[in-house]
Amino acid sequence: MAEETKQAEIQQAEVSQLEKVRASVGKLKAKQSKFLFFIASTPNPAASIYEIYFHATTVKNMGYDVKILTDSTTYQVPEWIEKELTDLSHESMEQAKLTVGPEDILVIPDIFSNIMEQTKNLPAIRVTLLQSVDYAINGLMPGMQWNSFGIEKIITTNSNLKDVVEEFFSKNYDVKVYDPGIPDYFKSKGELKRPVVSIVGRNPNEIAKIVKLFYAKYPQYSWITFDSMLTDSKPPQAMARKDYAERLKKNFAGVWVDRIASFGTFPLECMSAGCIPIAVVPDLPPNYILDEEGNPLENTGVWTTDILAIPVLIGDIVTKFLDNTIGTEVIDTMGEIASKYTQENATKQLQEIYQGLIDERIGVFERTIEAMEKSEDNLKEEVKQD
Amino acid sequence: MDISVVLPVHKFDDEVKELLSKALETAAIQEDIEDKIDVFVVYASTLDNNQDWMKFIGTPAKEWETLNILYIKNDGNTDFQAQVNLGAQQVKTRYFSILEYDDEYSTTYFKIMNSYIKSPEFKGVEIFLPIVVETNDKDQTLKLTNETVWSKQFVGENGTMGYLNAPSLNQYTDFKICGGLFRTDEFIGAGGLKSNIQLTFQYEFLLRYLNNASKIYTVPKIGYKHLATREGSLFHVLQQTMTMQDRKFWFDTAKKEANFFNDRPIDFHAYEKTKEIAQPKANV
Repeated sequence: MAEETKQAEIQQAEVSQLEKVRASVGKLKAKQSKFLFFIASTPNPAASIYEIYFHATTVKNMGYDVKILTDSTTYQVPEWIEKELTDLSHESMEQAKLTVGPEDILVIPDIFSNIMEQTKNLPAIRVTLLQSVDYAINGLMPGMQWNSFGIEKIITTNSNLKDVVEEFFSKNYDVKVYDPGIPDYFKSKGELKRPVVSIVGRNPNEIAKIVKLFYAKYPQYSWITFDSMLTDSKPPQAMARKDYAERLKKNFAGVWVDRIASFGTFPLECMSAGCIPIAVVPDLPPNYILDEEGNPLENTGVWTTDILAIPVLIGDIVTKFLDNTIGTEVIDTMGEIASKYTQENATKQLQEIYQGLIDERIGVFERTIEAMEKSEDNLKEEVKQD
Repeated sequence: MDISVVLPVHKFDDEVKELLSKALETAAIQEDIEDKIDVFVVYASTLDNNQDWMKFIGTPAKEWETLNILYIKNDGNTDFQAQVNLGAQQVKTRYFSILEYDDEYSTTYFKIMNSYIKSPEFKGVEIFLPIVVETNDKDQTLKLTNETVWSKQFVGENGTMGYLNAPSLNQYTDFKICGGLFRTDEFIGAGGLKSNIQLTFQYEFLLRYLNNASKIYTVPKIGYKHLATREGSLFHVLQQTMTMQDRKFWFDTAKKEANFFNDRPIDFHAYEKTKEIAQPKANV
């Protein structure tokens, strides 16, 4: 009798489980999945933050329920990002009381290994958004990696980052690479350029070093202005990205020093804006400066591995700008390269990636249902035979 | 092409011939310019007696065929300012540029200036100055001029980079109008260049425009090469003969006269008196 009861309980549990899986499939197909994007507070504008909002808005526009989970109760929605991208529900991770089902998706940036750990028992699909190998490694304890937290899926912005994952971690990760897009408002409309050099970088000391060395070597160019791309207010503030684009379109060159960047949004923005990037090649060179064989492409701006070469290269470009000898083919080619990285393309690629995750899970669940139904039928057959 | 050139000549010899030919050639070999450019060469009537000059104007070089050279004989005052004013009155285009016979345009000067005068962004600008490279007689670069308006520190917090403003011009006076592009009607309406002002007539002219709320913009391209050290040039002579006190007088005069459109006679009396007071006297 006890055996029969136990058997019935197991059967009931299996039926219940089957119902849950069926319900999840129903939700997945009906676009009732929740997408939770985790985000960190950053004092300065960062392409990585912009990208998370871009992902979230893309998914929202696909018809899904999207929530941004912030790392702080005092999180401020970034003013520098256009409102149409930040018009999303925000909640702090600390205060959020969320129920997460197997049909839901958690997108966790590389820096948040603690969240990967905390969420490892949740039934949701979990994805690492890998934008910087440096930040990712900072977040991982030695010997740990994403699959230590049960995460097998990675979305990243650079095929070189995929190579790093496969070389140093595992080839078993499901790594999806997409091309981030530059908003159309960066596109040059043939603006007449000013002798002003935009300059951005992760390390203020390096920026100061470049500027001082430039003035030391070229006293005749002491009137050239370097623009740190902040507002004119006191104190200077981060610029709204549209204003930033307008400023960039007027300046003739842009200096960029960021060795740990994974994609390199700024040089591509420069190329779109007709502003010549003068840049240090990061540890992982951006895809858009290399051809398919990995050789440097022509007319992508001025790239060097030597930071001390930057002031000299600025001087060369200033001279060419003043003499009007910068070829139109340079500007045209830069524009052509940048035009491959549109937000339309990025949206399309991200839709495919996220829809792919959903479809994959539907496939898994449908196979599970099939297996469970088969098992149930077998059980019934066994009972009948008994 | 909505730009003409005014080129004053007050004397002619072998050196001038060589320099003038080169100056005209630089106006003639411009990139991406299809229209003929009107060049008004204003010359002193006394040159009618100079056979070499008459031969020069009668046999234009083949290289100048892209130019429509018009020679204007000046019977009146033949100083630089008066020659330019006379040329400006003949100009038919909306803009004109001043070319000194010992200077040169860059090969993209007209193409670049044309893009600025056509741009809606610069619709309200009355004077476009190029960045001028000043050279010595060995063609070595001495310095750049007109470029300082691109320094944020120079234009100040209330100034706009690229635009000259009166407070900045009061502090720093070294701007060159040769190679500049002027709206013809505005130039004539504002009284042109003043013959009564020596040394600082360019400074006075720019200050007068700014006092009249006109916009002066430096196009950030090297568009003009100025030979700064030629012996016998007007500024060379002035540099050699004027004392610091003379220079101060002319700068003060320019600041005062910039409030008037007309070319008023200069009151030297007060200046002479000042000089007398400043003269050390022997104690006898």
